[in-house]
Amino acid sequence: MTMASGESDQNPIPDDIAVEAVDLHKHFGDFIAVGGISFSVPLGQTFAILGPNGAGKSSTMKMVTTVSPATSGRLSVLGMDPVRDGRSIRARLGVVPQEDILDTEMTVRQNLVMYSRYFGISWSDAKAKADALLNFVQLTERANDKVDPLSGGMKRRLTIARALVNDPSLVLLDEPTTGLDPQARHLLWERLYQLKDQGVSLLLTTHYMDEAEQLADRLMVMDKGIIAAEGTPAELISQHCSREVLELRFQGHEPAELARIATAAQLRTETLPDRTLVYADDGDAALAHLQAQNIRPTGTLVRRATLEDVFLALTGRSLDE
Amino acid sequence: MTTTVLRPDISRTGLQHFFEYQIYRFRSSWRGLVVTGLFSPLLFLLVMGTGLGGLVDRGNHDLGTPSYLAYIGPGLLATSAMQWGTTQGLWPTMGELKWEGGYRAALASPLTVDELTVGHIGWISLRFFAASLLFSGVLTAFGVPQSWWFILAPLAATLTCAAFAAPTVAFSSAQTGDGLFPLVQRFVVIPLLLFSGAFFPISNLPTALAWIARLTPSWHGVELSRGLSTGSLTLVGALGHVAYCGAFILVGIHRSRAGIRKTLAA
Repeated sequence: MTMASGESDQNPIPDDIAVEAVDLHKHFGDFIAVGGISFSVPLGQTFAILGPNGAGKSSTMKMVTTVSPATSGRLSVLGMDPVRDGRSIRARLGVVPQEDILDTEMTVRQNLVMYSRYFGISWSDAKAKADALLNFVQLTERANDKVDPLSGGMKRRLTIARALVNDPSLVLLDEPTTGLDPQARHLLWERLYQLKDQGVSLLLTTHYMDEAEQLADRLMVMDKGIIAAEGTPAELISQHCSREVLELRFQGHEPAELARIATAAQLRTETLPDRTLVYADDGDAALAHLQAQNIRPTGTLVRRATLEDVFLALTGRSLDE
Repeated sequence: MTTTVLRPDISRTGLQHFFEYQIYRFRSSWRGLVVTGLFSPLLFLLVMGTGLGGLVDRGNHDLGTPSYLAYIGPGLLATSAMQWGTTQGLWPTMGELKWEGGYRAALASPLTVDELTVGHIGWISLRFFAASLLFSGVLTAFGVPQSWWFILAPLAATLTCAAFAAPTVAFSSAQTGDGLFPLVQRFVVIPLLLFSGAFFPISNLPTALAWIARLTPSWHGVELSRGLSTGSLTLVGALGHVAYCGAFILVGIHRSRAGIRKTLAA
């Protein structure tokens, strides 16, 4: 394990834990990218790290991929020490970076075959695996094409296929669907579900709440290098949010008396630039109550509370900021 | 997807797999190397060796070679090593580390930073070795070598190439962009090309400049190649040139490793 000086490895990591981090820090000079986080990812589960840009998600991922050593704290990946056993850990990892770093001088299939060779996989196994993976990510028909003409979604799927050439025990995905259209995102999610069904552990970062809700067994919300909250999506919503959210839109500013009326009714509100959110277990009842108090919005929507609302409640900011 | 469980074999060095990957890629880009190894020296030899050489040979000179062509031929081999090592150490390094990010992907495999560093500098040098074989063949066709020791000239030139590639990779890996690269070409490579003794003896330079020239690995590379071509090289002299270039390679690899590690971890 990566150990801070003075710490002892008194608690061995259980065999069923893919990643265990204890008080993990990453500093770049005076800048604290990760300020002491602890989490654990059980084998076979999907764990999401959620947060806006600069939250420390990518720095955390780079420590887990063994590329960037932790400044202090304890980190174990697949039961091994990232500093001492980097090569052995990476042999069992699949890494999907934020950018699609594909070899544009090679064809789609060659990208997979040649990358397999980095893992010491035999030529025959590498070729068979490449064909199976191309089928898995629905790129068989593009096997002999160069990479450049592929669409963004296809490149992403190829990057994911490349991360699977070594049958990894743990796949790390850094913002896997950023920049993809909804159809491409859903196809990718479906493939990630299949991986999960096969027992592969997934650790992903995202700033899409729906992605985290769709994929993750557990997640942690990071903000400014620390963990703002951790749990299952349902736990986080129930702990930090009401069951429903009432969205109100007004012509111009929201009425000055709205906050007073809501507070009197024990309803929490959040004012966004384009709308006001009212957190309530029964959105329709809350709307009726406000209308009875002469609050007249131009548009209303009652919806289920999401992780986006959790993030807003925890940090006071939306994820896009 | 297949249910076969693959067993990655990381017992063998990743360097082998790194070279294998590069050689596979090279199948689509080998033509550039032929230009470096064949056409550039041919042009230089025709223009400088026979054209300018015709004038030089008519005058009185004491170059220690039967002709000006025989004088500059090995020098051109060494300076092309310097140019190849520098050029390949600048932009392609930045490309693999930052622009295209091929080494980011490679480092997600069992390859280590040490293997990437040595592999990258080694691959620059290995390609130049192939070009230097062609170059040496051209020189031989022009009747340049006067000694069988010239058979070692491609190795000497490759050493010179690595002596430039290693520090240049270190420099490139420490940069955030390629803004300074043209300046390196203009204010480092061109002066070294002109003042490394490839075209005239550095004894013709003012004393101070001559001593500065002796500190450059390009001069050592030129002397090594020329000595092998003329057969005038002593063992001590050869070892001195090799050690001097070797020091640049070792320090360059050390600094490159640090730069590459820092860049890929950022």
